[in-house]
Amino acid sequence: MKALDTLIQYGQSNPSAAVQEWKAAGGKVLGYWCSYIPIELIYAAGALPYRVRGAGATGTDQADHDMSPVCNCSFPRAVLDLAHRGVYDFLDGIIGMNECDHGRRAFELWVERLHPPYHHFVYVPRTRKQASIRQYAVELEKLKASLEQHLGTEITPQALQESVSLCNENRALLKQLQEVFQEDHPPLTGTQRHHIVNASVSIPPETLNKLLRELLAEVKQMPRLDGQRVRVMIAGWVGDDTLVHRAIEDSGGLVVVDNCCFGARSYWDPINFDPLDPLGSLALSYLSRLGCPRMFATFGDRFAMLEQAARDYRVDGIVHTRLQFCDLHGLENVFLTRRKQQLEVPVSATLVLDYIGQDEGRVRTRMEAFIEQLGK
Amino acid sequence: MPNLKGFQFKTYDFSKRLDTKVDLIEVINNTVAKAFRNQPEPVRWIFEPLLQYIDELNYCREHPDKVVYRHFTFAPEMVYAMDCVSFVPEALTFIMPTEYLCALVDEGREMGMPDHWCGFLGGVLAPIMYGRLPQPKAILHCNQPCDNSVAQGTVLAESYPDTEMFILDNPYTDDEAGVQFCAEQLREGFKYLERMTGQKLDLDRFRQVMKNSARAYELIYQINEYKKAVPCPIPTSVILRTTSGAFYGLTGTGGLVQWLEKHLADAKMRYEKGIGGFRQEKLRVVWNLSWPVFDYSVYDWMEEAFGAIAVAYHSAEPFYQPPPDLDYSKASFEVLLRELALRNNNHAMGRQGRGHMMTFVDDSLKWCREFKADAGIFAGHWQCQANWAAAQLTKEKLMEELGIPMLVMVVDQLDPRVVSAEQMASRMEPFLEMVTAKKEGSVQ
Ligand code: SF4
Ligand code: SF4
Repeated sequence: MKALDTLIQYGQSNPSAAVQEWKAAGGKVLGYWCSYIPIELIYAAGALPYRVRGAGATGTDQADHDMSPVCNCSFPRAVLDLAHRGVYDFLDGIIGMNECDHGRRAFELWVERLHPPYHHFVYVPRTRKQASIRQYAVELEKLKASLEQHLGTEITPQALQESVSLCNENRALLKQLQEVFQEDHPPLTGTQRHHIVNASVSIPPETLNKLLRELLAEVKQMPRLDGQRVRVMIAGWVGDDTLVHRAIEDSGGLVVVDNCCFGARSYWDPINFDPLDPLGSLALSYLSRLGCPRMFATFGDRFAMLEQAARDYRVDGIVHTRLQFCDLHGLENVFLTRRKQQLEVPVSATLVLDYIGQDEGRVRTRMEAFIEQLGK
Repeated sequence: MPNLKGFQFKTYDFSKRLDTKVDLIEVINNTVAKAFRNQPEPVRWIFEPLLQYIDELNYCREHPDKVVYRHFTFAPEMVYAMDCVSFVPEALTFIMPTEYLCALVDEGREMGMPDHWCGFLGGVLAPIMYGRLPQPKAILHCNQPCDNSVAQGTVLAESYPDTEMFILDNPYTDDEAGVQFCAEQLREGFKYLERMTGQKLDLDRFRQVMKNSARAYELIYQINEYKKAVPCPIPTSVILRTTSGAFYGLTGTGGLVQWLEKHLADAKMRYEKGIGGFRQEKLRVVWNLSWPVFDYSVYDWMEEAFGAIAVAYHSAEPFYQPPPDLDYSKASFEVLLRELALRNNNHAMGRQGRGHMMTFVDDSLKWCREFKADAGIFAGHWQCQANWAAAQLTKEKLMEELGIPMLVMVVDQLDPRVVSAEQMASRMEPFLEMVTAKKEGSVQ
């Protein structure tokens, strides 16, 4: 099987065959909630970091018992529902954090109701000031100690450095793949890239690096997409779902870049590691990279990235999305509307999504209309 | 059987869209402030702190060099210690007439604010972003109690790009490490305020403010002890808005202390005479999470129809335990910082929102237990997502540990267009009937 097919298959399954192989070989898998958890530490402890996703959820009724759909986001409810149904029984533990109120509570309810074999909460500050970076380093120290104790291992500086190098290589290769979309006629669709990103957060880093290298070689030989497509950027939050990508690409668009969490934000910036201050440098790097709106007053960073990427990828239009009840991404619309003129490309009215795609018809109609409006 | 028929809830006129491009402080002066001042003599004292706060809003307009924006769960003592005026944009939504709030929420939505955005913050989105409020000299913000507040930080950053902000990262845990983390940041916060306002911190002034603050907490603690009596001697619904508003806005001021002393004397007198609230107490209810602010006749209805007295409001009241016996006149800066950190970490609402959800659950249990509640009402302000995720667990624990039921219902604290007072009452009616029957022994 070609690397592309393998990666797409991994991205579509939850868990993938790669995880099953890891488990079969006696490896431990630890679930984590958000991209602010340094996976490097988990991997250096010998466990596979697995970002929990909602893929495969068909409803949220089990989670809704505790997390009211009155106002709670459907993504963490989908994840929690899968946990209730035993889909996440393959996890040897779960690591939570305060990414948003919904995710934080879903983690707490997972622990409270389902009693996973291991759990740990990491408090991640929301500012980049010195005291907060120091505090985050203290939190990482606690995570390290907890992992070492639970897994009966020692995270040596060397193991951590190797782990950072591996994960940075993942990021660099994903970014190379991203840059392929600067071509007028790239060989891949944005939907395919999104599957690959989904795979990247849930398979061993070595496997990912190997597959990405193979894929980058394959890509050189692959036929280019034909026809004139409207080049679209997705901004906001879509999670690991591909509905918006598919709706855009089925309407004659091509998602050339995004600034999403399951997306460019996960690989845009490398981690700067300092062996003399391993955890301090991890803390600084994680808090300083391309920000999520959970970080205070970081809209400017995302906007700058949007401006730059819109130019680099010759974007014709930006689709702004968020999930229903998301406050953090919710207000971005106000700020984006305010600075829209600076972008020189049209920005859609916010496309509000529910994670589980019952609403496909509306999403497709909205995207068709937007692509038509941009039509070349 | 008591019912809704014939009870007159507050009415509104939404037929005309109000002009929101007005001076909101003037609107408040001409409407609610007047109404507070015109209250009959025996109850006028109750509104004094709200008037004190409105005076501060007016002062801000005349003294722009003293205006410090402060998030509503950022302990105000820090601002008073710097001899500045604390301006809480969200507090305007709490005080302003409902029709204005609704018009402002609509204006925010026109700017792209999500429909589900919290009205407390959303009501001032347009005034902040269009520069209709007094310009801040400095901004103190924090990350509790919710994501709405975090995103509000970006509203401020985008609206006042030339005003550096100080953001307190509130910790997740309640342990000493959490207190130290907060204290360490507050130290920087004072340096920030000195830099932004050009004033030096006067340690004696800080001591006095903290002493006032400690005294206020001590007094509210004593008042709460009286509220535990059966019948509850304090007509809580009348005084609730003032008490919570006063603690959110005025802790550290001498004015608050003087008012609480009056409040305590009144509670003591009523307790000694065995006087309850305005109506006979048959049931005792604790509001878990929020409570309707737009129409206080909801409480009248509960009292009239069921003798259901609201004895406590979980998220509105200061939760702080009596402060340590400290000689504030000699306390060092370090000691005061630690005290201030404790105030921040335990701030009403922030405390339950920032940390693990069991804090919310345990606080609910504590209030219901100590105030001898027959029932809890989780009136879930529909944007308080973190607390909504704790509702089911709270309900189970109240039943398991105290044997009392809890009603879970959706409300919007400020906007009657989401859930009206009548709708709330019709949700509560069968529940209160059941609690009455249970108390009378006709239902297990
Ligand atoms: S979409 Fe928003 S609310 Fe939902 S999980 Fe992500 S950050 Fe949280
Ligand atoms: S906790 Fe609830 S009421 Fe308070 S600001 Fe947040 S959403 Fe609004």
